[in-house]
Amino acid sequence: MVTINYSSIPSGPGYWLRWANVWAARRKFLRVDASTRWRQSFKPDGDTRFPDRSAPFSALLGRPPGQGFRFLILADTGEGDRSQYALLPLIRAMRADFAIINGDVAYPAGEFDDFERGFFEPYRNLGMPIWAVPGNHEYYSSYKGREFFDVFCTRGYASLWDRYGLKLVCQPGTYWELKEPGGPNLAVIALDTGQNGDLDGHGLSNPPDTEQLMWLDRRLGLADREEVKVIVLFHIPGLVRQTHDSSTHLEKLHNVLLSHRSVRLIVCGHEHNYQRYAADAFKHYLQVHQGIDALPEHIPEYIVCGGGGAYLQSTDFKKSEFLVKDVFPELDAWWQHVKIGTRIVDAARLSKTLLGAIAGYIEDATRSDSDVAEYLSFLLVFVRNDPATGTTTEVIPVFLNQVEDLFDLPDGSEVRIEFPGTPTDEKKVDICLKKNGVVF
Amino acid sequence: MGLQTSALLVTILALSASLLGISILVQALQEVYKYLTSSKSRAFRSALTDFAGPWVRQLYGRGTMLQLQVRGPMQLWRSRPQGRLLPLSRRELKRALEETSPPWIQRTLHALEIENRLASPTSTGWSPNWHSFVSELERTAAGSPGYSTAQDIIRFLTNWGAIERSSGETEGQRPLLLRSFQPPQALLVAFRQQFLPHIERVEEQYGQFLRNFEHAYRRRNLRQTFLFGLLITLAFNLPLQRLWREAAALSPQQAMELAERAKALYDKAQADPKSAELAREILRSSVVSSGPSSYRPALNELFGQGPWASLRYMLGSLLTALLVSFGAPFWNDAVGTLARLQKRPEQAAAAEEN
Repeated sequence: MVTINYSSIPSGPGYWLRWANVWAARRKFLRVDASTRWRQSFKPDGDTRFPDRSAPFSALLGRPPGQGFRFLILADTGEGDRSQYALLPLIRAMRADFAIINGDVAYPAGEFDDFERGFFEPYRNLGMPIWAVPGNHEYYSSYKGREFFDVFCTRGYASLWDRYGLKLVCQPGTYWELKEPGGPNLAVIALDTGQNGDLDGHGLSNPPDTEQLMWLDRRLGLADREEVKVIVLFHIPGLVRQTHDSSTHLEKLHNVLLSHRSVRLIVCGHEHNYQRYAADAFKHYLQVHQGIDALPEHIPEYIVCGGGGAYLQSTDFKKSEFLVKDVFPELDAWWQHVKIGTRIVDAARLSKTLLGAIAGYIEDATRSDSDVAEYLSFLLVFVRNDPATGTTTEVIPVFLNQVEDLFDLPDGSEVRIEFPGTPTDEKKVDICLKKNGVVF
Repeated sequence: MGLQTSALLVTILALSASLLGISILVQALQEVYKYLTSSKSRAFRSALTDFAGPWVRQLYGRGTMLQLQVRGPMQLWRSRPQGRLLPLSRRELKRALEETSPPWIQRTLHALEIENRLASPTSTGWSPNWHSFVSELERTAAGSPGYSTAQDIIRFLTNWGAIERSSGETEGQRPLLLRSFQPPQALLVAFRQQFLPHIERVEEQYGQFLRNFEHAYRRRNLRQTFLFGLLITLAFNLPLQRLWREAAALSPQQAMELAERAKALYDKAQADPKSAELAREILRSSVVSSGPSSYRPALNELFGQGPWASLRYMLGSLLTALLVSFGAPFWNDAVGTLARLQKRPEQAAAAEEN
């Protein structure tokens, strides 16, 4: 077992036990969701380099895609505490060309200071461009998500990117596409699900996001015609914890996704663990909760991966309507990890009472905040472009407990978070990682 | 009928004079409050952030824009960064925002502006300043802060044909060479468009921003006036019904005296709105001087006579505050007009007698 040494990180565990953080995220309860309107007010500074919000991979790679590249998909990263820093050795070890953060970049409320603490400082000198989509926490900010827009989509904070040794490539908006014309047979489409995961326009003050959905339809239609395979990212999932999250309203989004055969994989965040649902489970979910009977042949796989650094959430799911194929941490590991307090509350059948809720909250906020960094996870995407065989894309979950194997470290050794990240050879990395990947 | 109209006119005149007195007091207090809280500077900050986006808050960060920042009235230590800016003109704002951009961008901009200033129709070459700038740009070490920006600038200058790489095996062995001179004006425009589009937008729409700021400042002032008016109304027990009753009890001569006193106060307030003497005079004037002695009946009216009386009292106070928020100039004009109307029949009677 390898331990991660966080001694250089001042921010300790218990992020959500600090009153200031809870208070900063108060808009979760107090602010009515109108994110469709907020998002439509974000206008780029006339940057026409990426027409129709579609940028080539080469813009992030700084070179033509050539024979291939690799990138990371992280989510729910930005607490700026020890657990976030714990992933750094592994992130560096992946030697990715760029990274995508699938929401919740800056806890607790997406303010400028939160970005500095939860994004710039942890990823200082990472040496790769990072793009992102806003999560719910970015929309709790004073300017309703505009801070996110300013950081990632304008040059307003260019001096900050510069100071922290990060390469700024302005995104074309809060939702965007990466696709190389004439390049690899792959596109990544990232969507903005706003404050509450409502693209259908369910709330009184939140109209349907027709603009974003029409854009998605247009881009996917193009991908269908060009026979490009698409990975779709968005932050708030409808299918999660083996059931439907009834607070989300994503029916129109699911309809658009299903009407295009080019969609091969859906990746969400928001839930702080790793859940992978097979196409059958997702199909069943769509039939039961979205009322879609005439389903196409091609149903994409569905991954929820929000273990990018924030506190962990239980994988002991209460419902089992749609069974997960893979989960991390596994149930045994989760139960080993949770403290005796929660176990007693559970054994006494008090888990659904106020006492249970308080015990669970304190447990989450203390225990799962830093010491369980070993259960963090993210996705690594390998794109191999071979003129003879075409493009192969492998989406591989990376778990922090693989550090030992990846770095070839003896049992009991200690990894400092400043670890420069020169792991074992490529083959070793491949062997370690190719356990649970999605290949298309 | 004539008598009734005259009585009503006297009451309205006295009421207007009372409201003018309260408005002057509110104005005096508001001036002090605005000074103590740097109200204009805060309104400017808020309007600028709404207009351009939260990134402009970098202007207010510690250690940035020290030459433009001013101290608030309670900030006594000269060394402490202050974080307050007075409203800036278009040019000042543009310059200030440019200073929030990365150092290499600032330096390139500066170098290009010098070239632009030096350029003349007969210029045939880059200045020595440009030569030394390019060689310094080239020496930026890989991995150092600002490296990626420097690389972006090199790419930009190469694309625009201002520099090129000489031939060689590796990038390190291929130093940057200056290409033949070209007028720097186009380069400067293109550079701004690529690296400072957010600042260009603010500059282009500065007129609109200024209108937004003025509107926001007026709204803030109006809000403050209403709140101060309400506070004074409650503190001195001046709901509208009480002001009306007291105004109705005055004789025409008393109403006229009150109006003249209020107008004299207004003239004094125009000369020095923050004077302590003025505040004392207002408090001594009959407009508000009866306040403290009548707290007991006020409390009785507010709490002791049932919910309708309380509601009536609160409504009266809100109406006074609302009328006060029309401002002292409005009530001064009203008092002047009403006083003239009041004097007219008297003058006519005097003329008849003569």
